[in-house]
Amino acid sequence: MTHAITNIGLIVIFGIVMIPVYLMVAGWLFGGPRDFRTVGISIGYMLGFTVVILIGLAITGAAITIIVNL
Amino acid sequence: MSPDIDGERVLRPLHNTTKGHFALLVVFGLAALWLLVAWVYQLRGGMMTVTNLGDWGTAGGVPWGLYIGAFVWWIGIAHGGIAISAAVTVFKIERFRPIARIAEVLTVFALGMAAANIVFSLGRPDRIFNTIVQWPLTVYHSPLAWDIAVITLYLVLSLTYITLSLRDEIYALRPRLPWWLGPIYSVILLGYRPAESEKVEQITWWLAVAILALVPLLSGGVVPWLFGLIAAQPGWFGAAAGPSMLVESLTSAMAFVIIVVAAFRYAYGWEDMIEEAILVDLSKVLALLVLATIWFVIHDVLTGLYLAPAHIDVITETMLTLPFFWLAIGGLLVSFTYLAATVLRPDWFSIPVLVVVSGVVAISILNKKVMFIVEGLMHPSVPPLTNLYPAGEYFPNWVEWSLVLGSIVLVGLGFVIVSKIIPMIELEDAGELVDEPRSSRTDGDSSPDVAADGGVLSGGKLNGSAADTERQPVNSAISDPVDTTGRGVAESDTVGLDSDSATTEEDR
Repeated sequence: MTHAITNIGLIVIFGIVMIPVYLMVAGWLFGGPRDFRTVGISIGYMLGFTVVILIGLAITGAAITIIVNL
Repeated sequence: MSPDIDGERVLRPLHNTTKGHFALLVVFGLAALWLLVAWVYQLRGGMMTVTNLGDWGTAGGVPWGLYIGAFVWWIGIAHGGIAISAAVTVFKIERFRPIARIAEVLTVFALGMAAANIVFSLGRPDRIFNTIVQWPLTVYHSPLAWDIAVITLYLVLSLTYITLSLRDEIYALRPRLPWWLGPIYSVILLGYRPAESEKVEQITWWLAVAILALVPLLSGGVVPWLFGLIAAQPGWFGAAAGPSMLVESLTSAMAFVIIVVAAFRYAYGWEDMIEEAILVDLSKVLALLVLATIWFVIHDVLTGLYLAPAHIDVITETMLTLPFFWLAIGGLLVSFTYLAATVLRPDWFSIPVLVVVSGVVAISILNKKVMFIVEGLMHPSVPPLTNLYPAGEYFPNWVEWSLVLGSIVLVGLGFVIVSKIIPMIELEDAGELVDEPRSSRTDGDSSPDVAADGGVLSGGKLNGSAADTERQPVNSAISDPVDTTGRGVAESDTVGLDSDSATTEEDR
């Protein structure tokens, strides 16, 4: 038996969980004082940390592969 | 600066390293090495061979055990730290400000350990990056993919929050900070301009709001949905799993915050800056959370026994026969009794006892979470899982204990290291600390709270004095003239994206 409702991942993540993030970014952009440069730096940090975490996962996987095959 | 925060004593750990600190570093380092040995042993021997964890279609046992229990536990602990700090920012609960930084750092380490325990639990951890590669396909239907997304989001928000909240402080204190950590401070100060302070305050306020909103969506949402959405395991399935797990998580989080705060307070002699009243307040919150946890247990047991469906009835009755269940409940009840008693009789309050009680609470919650994981897998009620998980027994072996206990040690090691990098108490007016002549900055003898023997009068064990260590060189890259406003430099200055030194826009 299949359930259509089991394919609700996009709604859960982008429609529910991310709402606080949307509000946060809107607050950054439209709230005072207006300073898009600092907002850009903040978003840059978030993207940077995300990339570092993903690269860290890739390195972890590669390191484990080496350890297992030694 | 806040009148009760002595900036000099907050900064001293960054320069003065005592024997006690080195001893902790060695002990935690050796324990971390043991974790590594155990993990390599598991990697090379194979998960199922060296642990008691089974797998689909094997002769019994459970595929998830202590590791996943510890994962859920660490996720819960991660909420206590940043939530306290965010509450200080959003609700202006200023009395908790002295512990905000410690709590923030705890969150980052706890999230890291949650992720580590997931990796420990993978049969093929070398393929972990596949979870990212396949994420666009799995996010549609997999609660595990949701979990990866939300934990990553929470970690990114937490790291951004800490980094932004440090920028003013690090910039003002740069001449006082260890020069050899310059690259770390340069990352924190990317594109910094003193004029950004007001906007950064607004940005961190919104970050705090988002983080607080994510607490029920992570520990009360995505993590419980890993279990609560699966009808095949009666112990997991149910709409109350979210609220129940959230309360348990906040309980263990508060217990951990108390332990870490008390440890810093004792180690560095910060009794006057982190007042006992803060720990009294935290203990009252912990009492309420423990009571709420017990309340949810009563819900579980009553609905599981009173005319429950057969499979739920069996699982509840089985749980009530387990000594581990009663150990967890006993721990919670004893802890609550003490915490409630201190509310009625404040003179019974004792920080060492509170730390012990908090430890009992944290361990009880870990115990309960592991039981929750295992009981669902032990009693599958719907095909095909009834064939995939035949009845079996589970008890963690030395490898699993080593890795989970090792993850606790790693958090300790992380705190020992990070306390040498950033001030562990927020210094709101850090600029005041660079107003005095540099010749006295690292001279511990000039500090009135240093005893003749170099120890700290207020009882700190790791503070030491400048006499214990060499005088720290001032970062020669920082050559800005320090003004008397405490702000450090002119408004037009910007920290370069590619340089340790501060340069003016005109220079660019």
